Amino acid sequence: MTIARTMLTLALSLSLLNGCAFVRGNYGDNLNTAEVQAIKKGVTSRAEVAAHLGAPDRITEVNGREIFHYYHYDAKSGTVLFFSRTNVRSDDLYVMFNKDGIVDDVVYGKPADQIKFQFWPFGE
Amino acid sequence: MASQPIKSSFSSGLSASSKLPTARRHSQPWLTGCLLVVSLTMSGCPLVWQRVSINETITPEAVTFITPGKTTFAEVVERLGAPDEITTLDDESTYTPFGQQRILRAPHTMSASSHGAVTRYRFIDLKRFAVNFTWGLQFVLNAPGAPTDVELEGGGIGMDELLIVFDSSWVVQQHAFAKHADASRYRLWPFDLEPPDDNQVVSF
Repeated sequence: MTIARTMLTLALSLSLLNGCAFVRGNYGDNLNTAEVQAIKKGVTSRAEVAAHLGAPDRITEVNGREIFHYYHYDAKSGTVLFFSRTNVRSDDLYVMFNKDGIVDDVVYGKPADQIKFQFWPFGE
Repeated sequence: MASQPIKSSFSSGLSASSKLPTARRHSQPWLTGCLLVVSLTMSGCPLVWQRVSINETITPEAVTFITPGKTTFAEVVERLGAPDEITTLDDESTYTPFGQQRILRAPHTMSASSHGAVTRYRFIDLKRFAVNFTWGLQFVLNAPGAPTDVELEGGGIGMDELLIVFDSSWVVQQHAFAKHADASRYRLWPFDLEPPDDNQVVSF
């Protein structure tokens, strides 16, 4: 009886896992806080930023200032039975330069909490 | 003789509690079996509730701190984080929720003086519901071509966006939501329930 119950429970557990999927993906390199903090306003040059963080994903000019834009996307997806939820979060870094090519401002809004694996598609 | 009191106490004082575990022992395999059948039955996914969320939603309450003409770019970033996009603007551009366009002024658009900036915070919520009405036929019809995949599906993408326009000193001039988040909902019936309203025809 105990063996039968164990087998039944095991079969139920395996059947619940049927179709389950937990997937994680990302786009771009994860932005390292320490590397961002190494950029000093009024000191670091455009070339040093590029050498440190690599080539930016985008370069724009806003308000007369050149901006290096680095971005990274992180995605976590969970599927259980017929419920599926995918959470995606972007992580952006802007490095603004003055007319001399020296860092004028750094805008980095790394989210405080990591995105979660979820499968329940209702609620918040 | 020593076992008699134990036997008697087992059969009298603990009778109620002793029956409960016994009943549970019998019900657990039955319940597990039922769950197994339900699980195996549903494993083909005749129903699908799917949701995709990109970035966290920014509510109107979260931007009440923004005061046009006073709040700075640094204060916005401190409260809302880095935007998804920073773009420039010029005299001829009009900013819509779908990007910078050179169009005439229209409802729900914003404009600003030259030499300013526009930041965008984008957040998207997608909801999809699907049901396969003939999925169960696969258990009774083994004929090739049996209609086992007749599906109705509905949903919506609520793509919202917060636009903040700054002047050349990086002080907020205007801010607005695109207000499309309500489009995201689970929908069973994909067809129109009411005939189109002729009064909605717009002529220029």
